[in-house]
Amino acid sequence: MANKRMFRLRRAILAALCDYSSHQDLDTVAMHPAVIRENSSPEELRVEWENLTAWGIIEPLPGYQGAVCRLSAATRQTMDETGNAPRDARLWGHEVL
Amino acid sequence: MGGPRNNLSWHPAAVRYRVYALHYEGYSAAQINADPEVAASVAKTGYRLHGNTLKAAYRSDECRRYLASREQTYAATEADRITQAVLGEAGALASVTDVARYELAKEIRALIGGVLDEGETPADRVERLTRSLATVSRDEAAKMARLVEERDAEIARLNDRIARLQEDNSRLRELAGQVDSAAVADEMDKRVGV
Repeated sequence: MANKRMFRLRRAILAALCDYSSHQDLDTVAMHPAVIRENSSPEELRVEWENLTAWGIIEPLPGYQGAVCRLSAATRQTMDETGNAPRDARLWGHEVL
Repeated sequence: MGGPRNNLSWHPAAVRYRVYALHYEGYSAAQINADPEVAASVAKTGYRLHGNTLKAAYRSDECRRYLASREQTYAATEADRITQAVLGEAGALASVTDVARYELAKEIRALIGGVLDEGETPADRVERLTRSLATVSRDEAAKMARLVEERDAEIARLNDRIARLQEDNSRLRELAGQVDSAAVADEMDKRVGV
């Protein structure tokens, strides 16, 4: 069951990736201030990274076993336009619906 | 086991990181205390942030990790920006592969951050960067060569088709010359009474 902290961590990953024009690796994203602030364990971070990849919110760079990703075109567009993560229950919880 | 706690550790994580961020940006203790978010938290928790408290907080693992993260993120975002600019100036932004772009940004980030692998000299690093740039150029050249090949094949196919059409045209002209108009008229008269 996802809790608010998990949603914040997912959004923090997106905010970190938004700072890069192209792909970035998980280790660098883990050091982003937005992600550091969530005090998550490396395992938690990897799980959420993989969830975001599986949902197509971020997309992996082939050849790096999913460890290097970028925002999908739709996510990038929303974040560029609104400055926020897409209004998606998986990122904000069901309250957003 | 955790280290000794200071007053800042009793504040929520969001406020602690706000204090570290302000410290990173060069704000003084007085300016940090005057920040609305920090002031609101001090009022709420009652834990005041004196100069010595902040000095102790800046020595904490949490603060050190945060400051290191700012430095690393700075190197990574700068590398990303430089990569974009270099490829943009070379007119290769749209044509280099994502892998080449990522690898190039990684090399530039390592140079900015001054992080060298064990046993690696700056000369080795420059050599790796050069090799990475060569990969970008090679990718670009290979892509262009593939494009030329595709165009050549298309031109050959069209030339072949033109030759076939010309042949068909000559054949039709030949046939048209062999038609006996009187015989056609007789046949039409017989069949449809024209």
